[in-house]
Formats: sequence, structure tokens, C-alpha cells
Amino acid sequence: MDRHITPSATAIIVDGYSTGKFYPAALRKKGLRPTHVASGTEKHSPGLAACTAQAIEHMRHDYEAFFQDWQDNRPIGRTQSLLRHGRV
Amino acid sequence: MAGCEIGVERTDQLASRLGLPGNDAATSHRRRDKLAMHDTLAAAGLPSLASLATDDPEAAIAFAAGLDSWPVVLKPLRSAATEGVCFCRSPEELRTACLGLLGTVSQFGERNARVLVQQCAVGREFAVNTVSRNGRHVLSDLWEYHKIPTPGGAPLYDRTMLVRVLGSEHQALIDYAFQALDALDISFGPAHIEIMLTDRGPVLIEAAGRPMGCAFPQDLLLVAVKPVPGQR
Repeated sequence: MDRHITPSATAIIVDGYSTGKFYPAALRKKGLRPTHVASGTEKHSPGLAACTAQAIEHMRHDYEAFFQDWQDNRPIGRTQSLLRHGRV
Repeated sequence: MAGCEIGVERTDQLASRLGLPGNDAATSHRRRDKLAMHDTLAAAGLPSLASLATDDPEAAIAFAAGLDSWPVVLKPLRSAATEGVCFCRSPEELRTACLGLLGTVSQFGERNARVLVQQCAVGREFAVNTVSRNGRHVLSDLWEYHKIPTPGGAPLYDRTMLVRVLGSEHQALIDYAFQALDALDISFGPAHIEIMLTDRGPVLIEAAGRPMGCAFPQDLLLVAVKPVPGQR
């Protein structure tokens, strides 16, 4: 764990596909709790949507929380707060 | 942090809304729109490529004729992974490529209502990968691309080699990359900057506020970046 990182600090990854799929393990090593947010951009492309759905299935255990197609940031903020305070 | 190209703008917006460290959402377009990218570098006095965004093949041809140098590059304004990129060696090839790309939908589901026509940079192409915090940039890894043309004029990745030993030419690349990061307002998180090292020095191909793509198998990536004894 990185000594400079606050215990239970969180990190948000938006669309952690491609090389970004390697982030959760690296972040955990640093002592961060990874949260995944899907931007919803994939909705505009059927091929991409299928691809990201499959990726999310593979990543399901890598993250502490998932948010699909976010429009309202309040639930994300609330969850970040709960994760940060060790309540999740 | 953005995990891939489609997340770049949303990452900026989310960081802004939640009050988290991030890149300024007001300048996101500099990091996604390839015309804005080069306009920004030019305004900052950095080497850039002459570029035009248009929906008119004849305007594209007139612009290319003004460059007085073939081939020219045709590409979508907002895509990645070399999608839709074409080297056009004549006005006829450019017209055909424009008509083929205009109105299509990118891999990210965005309609190519305009296309980017760009001066072709010739040299050795590198990918400079960085991480930034509070505007301070750190090089994470440097790769040299080797591409070969397909019969249709599209570039095809042949191989990508990790640069294990940094020489003076690489330092010039890195210095230019860091200046480009400042101009593009990338002050936080990972970035991937593709640069051509030409006879006249480094010039940006494109940049992104995200990690390098390509989804290398992780074991291959780890082997590639494993330190070699005796090398820094």
C-alpha cells in the first residue's frame, strides 16, 4: 500500500475497458478502492455495447461498485463517500 | 480516470461535478477532437500539422493541393485505434476516401459528418505514455510503432517495440510531449501521445487523456516492461 494514500480512499474509473481493465488490480495494490462508471457512450454503437457488456461481466469482481450509464452523479458521490468511510 | 477513449469527456465532467482532481471539462474537446488538438498546439507555438475539417470532398482536395505534398492523411475527427485512417496519394484517392468516410458511423457510434484532412508527417512514430498530477508530468513508457500500408492505403500495425534505452532523440520527444500535455490542458491522470519524429523534429499525430489502448494481454505487457538488468 502507498503510504501517501488515505486508507479506504477510492478511485473512479470511467469506461475501464481496453488497457484500463488493468487498473483495478494496480489501484488495489496502492490501497485504493476501485469504482467503475460506464459513461453510456456505448449505447450509440450496438457492437460497442455488446463488447462493453461482456467486459463488465469479466470485471464484475474487480470493482467495489458499478454505475451504469450515469446521468445523475449524486449516487456516485454517495457511494464514494460510503466507500471512503469504510461503510460498504 | 478514463479507462479508454470513450470515457475521456465523461471523466472530465464527473471529476468536475464531484469536485475530484481531473482535467478541465471546458477543454475536453482539445483532447478528443483532432482538429482542435492541432489548432491548440499551433496557437501555443508548438509544431503541428496543417489540418482541415470538412464535409466537402472538393474542399479537401483544394486544401491538399495547397499543401503541395502527397500523400495526405484522411481520418475521422473523433475516433481512435487508426479507425478510418487513410493515406491518399492523389486527388482522386482523396475524393474516393472522403466519400467513403463521410456519413459513416465510427466504432464509438458517432457519425462522421466531417472528416479531417491533414498534412502527412514522415518519420519514425512513437507513443509517449505519461501520468500527470497537478500539471507535473512523468513518463511511464515509450514505444516505437512500425506500421505498414495496406493496399487500400490504411496503416496497419506491424509491431510495437518498447524503447528500453533513452537517447537524445527520445529526450526531444519527451520534452515535446510534455509541452503538448500543457497545451492540451492534461494536468491529471494518464495520457497517450503519438508523435512522429521527422527530419524537422517531433510533431504530434494525436493525443488522448487516457492510457494507451490496444488491450495488450497483461502477461505480454508485463514481460515487455520488465526491467532489463543493467538498463535504466
